[in-house]
Amino acid sequence: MSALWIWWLFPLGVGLGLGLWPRGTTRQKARVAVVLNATLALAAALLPIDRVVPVLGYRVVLHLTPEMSILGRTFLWLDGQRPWLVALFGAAALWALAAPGARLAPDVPAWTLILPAGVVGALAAQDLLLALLILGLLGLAVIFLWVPPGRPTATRGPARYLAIWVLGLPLVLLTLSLLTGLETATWDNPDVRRAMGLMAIALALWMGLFPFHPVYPLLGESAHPARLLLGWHFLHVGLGLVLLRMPTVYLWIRETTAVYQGLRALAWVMIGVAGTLLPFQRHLGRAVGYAHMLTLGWSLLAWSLGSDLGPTAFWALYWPRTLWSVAWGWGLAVLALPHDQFDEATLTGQGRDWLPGALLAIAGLLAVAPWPGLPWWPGVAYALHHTGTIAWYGLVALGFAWVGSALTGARWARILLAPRGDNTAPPIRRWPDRAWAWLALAAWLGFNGLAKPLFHWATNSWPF
Amino acid sequence: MSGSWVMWAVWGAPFLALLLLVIDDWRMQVLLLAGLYTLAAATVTAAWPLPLAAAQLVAGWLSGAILAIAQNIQLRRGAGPPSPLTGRLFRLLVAAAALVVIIQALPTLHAWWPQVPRRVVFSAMALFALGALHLAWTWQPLRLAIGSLTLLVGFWLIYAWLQHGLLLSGLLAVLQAMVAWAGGYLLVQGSSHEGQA
Repeated sequence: MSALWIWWLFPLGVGLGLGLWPRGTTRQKARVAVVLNATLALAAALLPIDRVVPVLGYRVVLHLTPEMSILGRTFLWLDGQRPWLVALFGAAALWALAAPGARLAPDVPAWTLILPAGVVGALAAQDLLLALLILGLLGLAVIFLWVPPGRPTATRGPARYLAIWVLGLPLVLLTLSLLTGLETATWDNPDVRRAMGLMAIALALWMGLFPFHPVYPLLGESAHPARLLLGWHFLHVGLGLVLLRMPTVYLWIRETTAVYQGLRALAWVMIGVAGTLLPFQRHLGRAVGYAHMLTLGWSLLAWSLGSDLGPTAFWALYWPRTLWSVAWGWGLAVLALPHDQFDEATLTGQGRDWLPGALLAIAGLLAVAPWPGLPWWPGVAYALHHTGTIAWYGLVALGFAWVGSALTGARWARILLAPRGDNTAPPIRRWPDRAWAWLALAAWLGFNGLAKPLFHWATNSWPF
Repeated sequence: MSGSWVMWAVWGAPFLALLLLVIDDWRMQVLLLAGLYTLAAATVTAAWPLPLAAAQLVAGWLSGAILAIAQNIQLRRGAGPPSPLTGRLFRLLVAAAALVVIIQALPTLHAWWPQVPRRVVFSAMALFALGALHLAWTWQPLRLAIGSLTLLVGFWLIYAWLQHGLLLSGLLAVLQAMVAWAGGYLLVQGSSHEGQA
């Protein structure tokens, strides 16, 4: 049996079934999603691929084959890629676990199965064009996560996202078409330069830098933050991992410093722009959007290290960022429970009713800058160290990130912890279920060093 | 690439896209979209086997149907005002300027994809530009979806000469249907929001 049946098609099918099943509460569906995701993560840690595993006293053997063929195209999942499965389904289990506490609708647990399965499908595709087409579909599918059915939602942000995503996708696909047969070309080849030009425009679109009104804050204004962070997490991890494969396919990228310098410049612009605009947001959702843009900048910086050092920095950022997203999304969701609004006027004083939520919201904003001591500081420090001499613009961008996040944290602390005054929004009355259990879990995972061995295991098993 | 009907299709597609940009009536827009897909499929038969091109054509028509249903639901809650004549004239002028730029840059653009016939490169780039203009001008989900689909048809015209394969073409068809589905969904959700506000 192909391993991809277990980690791609099975969770995808169950996720779709769970999402379309009209009955069941969030808690019931989350239970299924947590158990399934955790089992898949555990199975990935224990079951080798392409090796015979004896079960039931050697009478039955299990042999998971790495390849699968669909309509003439090969999909491959190697044994060395199993850490990715643990990372993807482990993170999905955490998201599913947080869904009932955040009072999310019953469709969300299904997405915790669909999204990692979609990323696995994209990563398994041997053809980069096919991988990006699958990711393109996933990028369109998340619109249904961000705009849940039967709930009044502003659609301006998702509509903008649809436009940006569709504009960028053909450019990326045409880039890969132009690069067909140019695996061992050089930077001097005009086709290579044209392709990279198209890719740069697509990246600028998708990373929210162009056309000057970043899509992330708009989405943050329209959609629920926990849903947004869930969609962003898997979509951008999938994109990052697929793009990290490019230097292993197109060997000239490894020797072309211009590509890495361009990426680094893009990363610094993202960090600088997001850090500068972050403190000026009067809507917490918009601040979440800029915060995400800032963290994407760190990932891009890690990516600019190339296929040798990049994965180490990428995985160093992965687990802490996952925990941060889950905890932050959960805190923000609970904070906005009574009114579902994230503007300054509605949130004034709400933090007094539920202090853990307020503290999580503030900590989330503070944590987007790489403060020394935070769990993802080693990852960022590694990326900074290996990008060579830190240029002046890098230091300026880093400064903007620090100052921006500190000012934003202070601003929202003042708003959330201020007296309610004339805020007529109803206060949070009911203590969220299992709040302390979840907080303890997040603190345990994030700060007791579990992230470190996981990171080492993941980076040491990088297959390329 | 032969056949006078293919020639007509290559030149007709940008013309329909131009009409899509200036016409506001949603019924006409859906019909024009269906026509655009028909012309694009006729063009693509020069590169792809007929069944593959027909599958894309069906996906395109299906996209039009999805958008029509969504728009119909939205209309029950009240339609928006039509855009003024000056606005449409402005769109026409900008589109004409974009087409002039494409004609001027055609030799350079053709050098990017020499295996694609020159006329097809023009048609694809025109659809790409006119689709992008839709996306730049509006927040309205129907127009956004139509613009996105126009742009994807432009991409399909080039892609057909570069890539062959059942799975890739199938995924492209799914992608187009998904764009229409997402656009229609946003149209319905947005209108329900306005209704409740």
